[in-house]
Amino acid sequence: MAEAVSLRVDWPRLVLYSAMLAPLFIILLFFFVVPLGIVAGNSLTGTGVDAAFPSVSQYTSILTDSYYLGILWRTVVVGLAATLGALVLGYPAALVLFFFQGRWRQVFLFVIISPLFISVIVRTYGWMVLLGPGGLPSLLPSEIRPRLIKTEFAIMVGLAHIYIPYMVLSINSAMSRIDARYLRAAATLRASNYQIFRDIILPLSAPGVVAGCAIVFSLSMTSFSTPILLGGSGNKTMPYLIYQQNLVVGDWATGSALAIVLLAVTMSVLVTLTLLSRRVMTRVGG
Amino acid sequence: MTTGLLRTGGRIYAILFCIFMLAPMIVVLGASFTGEGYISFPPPSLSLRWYQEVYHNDTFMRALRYSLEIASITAAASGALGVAAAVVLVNRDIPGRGLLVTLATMPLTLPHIVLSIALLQLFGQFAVPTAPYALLAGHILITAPYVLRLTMSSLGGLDPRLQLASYTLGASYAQTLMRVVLPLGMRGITAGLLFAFLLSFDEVTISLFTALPGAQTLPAEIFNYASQGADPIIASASGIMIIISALGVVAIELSFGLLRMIAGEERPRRS
Repeated sequence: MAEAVSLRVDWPRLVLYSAMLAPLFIILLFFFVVPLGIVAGNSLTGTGVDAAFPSVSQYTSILTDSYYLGILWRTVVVGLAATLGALVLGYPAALVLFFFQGRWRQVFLFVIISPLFISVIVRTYGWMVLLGPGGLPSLLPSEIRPRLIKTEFAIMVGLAHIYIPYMVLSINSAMSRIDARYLRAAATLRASNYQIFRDIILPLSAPGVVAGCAIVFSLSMTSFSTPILLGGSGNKTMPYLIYQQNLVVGDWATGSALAIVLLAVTMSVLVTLTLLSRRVMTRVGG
Repeated sequence: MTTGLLRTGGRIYAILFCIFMLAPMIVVLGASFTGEGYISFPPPSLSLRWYQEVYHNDTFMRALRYSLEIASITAAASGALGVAAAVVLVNRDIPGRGLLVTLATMPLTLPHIVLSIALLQLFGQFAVPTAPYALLAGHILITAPYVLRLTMSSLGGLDPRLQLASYTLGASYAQTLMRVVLPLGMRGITAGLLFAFLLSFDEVTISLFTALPGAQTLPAEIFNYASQGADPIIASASGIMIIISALGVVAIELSFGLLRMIAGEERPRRS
């Protein structure tokens, strides 16, 4: 493995390698780093005609506006609800996957993964039909028929379904690292199924749960098309506001500040959740 | 004993979970074959009427062609950029290798909504039309990291002695690359190109922000129609998307193995 380290600079190789790496990183610089800098810069534009730069006035006006705060709150609540939904439905699925063997395990895993290859818009439209007046509600008698579409509940169901594969995969990858000898030792010591689950599988799968929740939450918070189609104009979330300010109104200053507020809130909820879960885990002794 | 009961329970849960996972796609496909003028599942009568409607609908057909073009260009560009970087970064003696790989995969951690407005503002700043350049740039940024990773993972297990043998036999770097390294990494490269194509073909947010109103991609056009109502033509346009995705999934499964690509699991090898 270890080849002789040569201190001599291999110029032809250096030039060739740089030339092969350059295109990707130049694109990254011009279409990723620079535009993010522009967004950050625009978000610091002052309000009014003779406003100074940099200024935090965009941020203060967003964070003191009850309309914006209401939508931000809904975005967080819907995101947390979708994450919880994905966890409650996804954890048992990961557990089944953990104990399944052979061919059926492959089939189950395939069914969990394959929706990831189908456009979010198609999956969202499927939920529009399912939750719409001609879908699942029509199975109930008309007196107790609930209105599901254009509600926060619809957004939550759609987001939970769309992002659940990430939850299952993340928990599954933590579970697959569990040493099979622990399970055999526990069985030898006559531990019950419940004890094996509580004392081995649950604590050792916790890092996968935390990672899965983080992925699903950040994707749900920043999802654009699903909340619009399932929630309608009465249940706007932050990405819609960002769209509106940037594309419809053309106010880049507010539009950029909204995007950065969304990123910051997503990050802080994630940090809080991670710290909380760490505290819970140390108390449980995982 | 209870273990048997748990096993049965697990199987029932797995079946219910599969139904939940596939329900939206089944409903869309089912509804797309309706003979009626409204959305209903199960359809009261079966026909291909709404597929004919899509075929004769200029907006959807133009959007489908545009999507296929954008996805092809994205796959080709991401393929070239990703593979070139991967064959360099797979060498363990590159200084700052880990950092470079992390940098290259950074766009995957940024929400599409933020990437979209960033590209919008960049192109707006310099008064350059966003379509198709901003659209392509966005799609390349979110797909090239996958090509890079898949190519690196299929070259990662490459025996360095094969390259040494090639050099010893007098081959140049270019010859070694073309005739030893790339053929051995072909499975990963193919999977990366297919995945890049599908991701671009399926992507909706960046398209909605950067494509021009009269020339949208197919997912963006489906979004526009769906936000106005539930016409069965949306179901048949979605049906076309499902069919193309399914073909892509089959191609990935044959070339690389779907489970290996996403879940990191080896599929049982055929002898």
